[in-house]
Amino acid sequence: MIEYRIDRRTGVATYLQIVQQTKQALRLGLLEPGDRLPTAREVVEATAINPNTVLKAYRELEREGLVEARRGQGTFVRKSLGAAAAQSPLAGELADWMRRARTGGLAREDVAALFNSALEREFTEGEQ
Amino acid sequence: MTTLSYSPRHGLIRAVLRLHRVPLWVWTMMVIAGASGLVWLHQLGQEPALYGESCGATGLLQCATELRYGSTELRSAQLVAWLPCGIAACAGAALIGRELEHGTAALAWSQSVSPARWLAAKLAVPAVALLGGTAALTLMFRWVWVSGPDGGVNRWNSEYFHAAGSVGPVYVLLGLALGALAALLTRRTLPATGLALTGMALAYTLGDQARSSLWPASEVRGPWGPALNQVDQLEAGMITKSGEHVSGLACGDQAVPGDLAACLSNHGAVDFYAKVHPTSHYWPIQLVETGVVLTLATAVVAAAFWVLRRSLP
Amino acid sequence: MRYGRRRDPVLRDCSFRLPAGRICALIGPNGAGKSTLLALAAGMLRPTQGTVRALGASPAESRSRIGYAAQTRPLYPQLTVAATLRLGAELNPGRWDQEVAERVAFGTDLDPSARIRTLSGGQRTRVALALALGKRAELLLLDEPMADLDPVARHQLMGALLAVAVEHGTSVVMSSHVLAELEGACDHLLLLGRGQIRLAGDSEDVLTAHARLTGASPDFAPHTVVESGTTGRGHTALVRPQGPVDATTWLVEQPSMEELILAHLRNPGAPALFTGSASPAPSQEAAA
Repeated sequence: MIEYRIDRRTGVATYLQIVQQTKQALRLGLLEPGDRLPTAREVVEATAINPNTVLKAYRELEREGLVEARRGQGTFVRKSLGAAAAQSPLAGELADWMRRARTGGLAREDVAALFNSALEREFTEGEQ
Repeated sequence: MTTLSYSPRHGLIRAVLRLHRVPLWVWTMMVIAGASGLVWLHQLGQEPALYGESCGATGLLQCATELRYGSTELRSAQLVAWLPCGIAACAGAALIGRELEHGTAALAWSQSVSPARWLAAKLAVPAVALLGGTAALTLMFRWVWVSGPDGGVNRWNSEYFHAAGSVGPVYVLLGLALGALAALLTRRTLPATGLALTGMALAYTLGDQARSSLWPASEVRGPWGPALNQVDQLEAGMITKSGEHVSGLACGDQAVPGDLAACLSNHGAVDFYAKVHPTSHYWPIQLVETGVVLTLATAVVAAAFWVLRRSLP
Repeated sequence: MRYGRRRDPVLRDCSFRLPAGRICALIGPNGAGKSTLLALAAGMLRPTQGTVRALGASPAESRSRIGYAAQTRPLYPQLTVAATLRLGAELNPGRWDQEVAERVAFGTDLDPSARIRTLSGGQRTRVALALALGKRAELLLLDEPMADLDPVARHQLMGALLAVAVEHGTSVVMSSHVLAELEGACDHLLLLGRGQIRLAGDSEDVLTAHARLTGASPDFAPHTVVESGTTGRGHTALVRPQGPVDATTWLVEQPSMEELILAHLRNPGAPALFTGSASPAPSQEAAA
């Protein structure tokens, strides 16, 4: 079962933190279709955040089609995210590119800046 | 999920019993000690050597025993008459005042107990305990007194009237009610205790003063006789030729003591009279006073509930 | 749920509604009347004037459905922790949840046989909250519930409290003079200043009803100004926008809740704000 870590100082809305952490878990394969998300009660008991925040996050995930609420049973993962991405040739190409950048003498910060600017250029619509 | 179910009324009573376990134990111990003392006094009173004529005739030992019995009986009467009332006044003031002072009353009220039910339980538990204990002691004292040697005690004496009659236990209830009312008014233990004890003393004094007026008095004629030592005397005096009753006339200053006829004619009177309550008035007056005090206690309890309601929704 | 009361001098003209099922933060500086408000709602005080209604009835009628923890944490010093919980069970026949009460009271290391008089302030708070939560109330009124708890206990107790709330659909009102203590847990805000309601409503609604404007002109009309000042050569103000804000004249920023509260407390002259669900509607009876 996934455990959420809520950081109040990031400035990111609490419900978005839950949404992002769920997606992260889907991407990393920590959650797979059919898995049950913790109930709102379990989440608030562990994190001491407002129950409505949890429900709002789950509704958001449901709206995106990632999870589904089954009456009386809980909220379940419907589909995985980016598991394909992690295994696709693109992952290898990116790793390859990183290796070349490092051997080419780029520092970590340089690589991050390049990566982020490319990311910004390609995904300007703020896609989640 | 476990749900413990208790019936509402019993739960509250049980809670009050547990909260006041220590005072209840102390009271029980006091009643047991008092009862044991009275049993001992009863045995002292049953020693055959005690009876009147022997004293003085056969020596000092028996006489000392009789004196000891008489004074112990009086002390017991005072204890049985006064102590439970004082304890009741303090209990009412302390049991309720402490809760208001420390705010623990709000604990009960924030559970599913209304303030009125809380007060009712807080009064009912000590009332039953105090009433039971005092009634037992009163009955025992009466038994000791009636079966013991007749020391010439007037049954109308305040201590004996309280310690051996039905008024004793109801004054205890009045004390508890006064304590509760004082506690609700002051919301402090110490001032409430002082106030309740003062009120109790006042009620006692008023009771002693008003007792004789609770029942119509009888009139007896003729000179003073020893039988009048055993009645409740209200007034004594002489009846003049015109039939007028003049209170306070007596023959104490007579030149020739004992010549009552001369004394009467000196005062221009024809006979002596005395207004008294004979022994036959004893129980009627006990019962009337019991009723009056009980009514008073009820009124004080009602006032206590009213004070509580005034400050709370 | 609706309260309306007038009380001098602690609370005056306090009328607001709290929608059912919300977790409400009652914020205000010391002496603002938070404790009085909660005690009135819990039926511990009688208003000098006006009426209080909680759960659609008078607080006295709703007594068995309201859980209340007073700031002073009244507990019987002579009882043990276990006996105190037993008291809760006996005084709340049919409503008591022993499991919840034990979880809240004992936490990690509290001995059930310890006498109340030997407990620390934080431990007493745990027991007082256990009594309020074990009651399985529909409305919980908690006066400074987290005040003397350590961070671990605070997190754990808040979690337990919210878990109970979500399980039973309980409405909760928690008071504090520190917003940070409650911010993450609450979705409704009630700001009390000098005995009067300053802000009431859904936290997000309250937040989005305000904006910080910075610009050259000192004239912020038509927006309602809560607080204004100068920054360098320009002017800045915390406003409630009335109509669209001209983003070309103003630099528009979203203020934080902390800023918002401070601005309202510093400027008692600013009008109170009730967002949609919180405004008192005299014609409408409470449905909680």
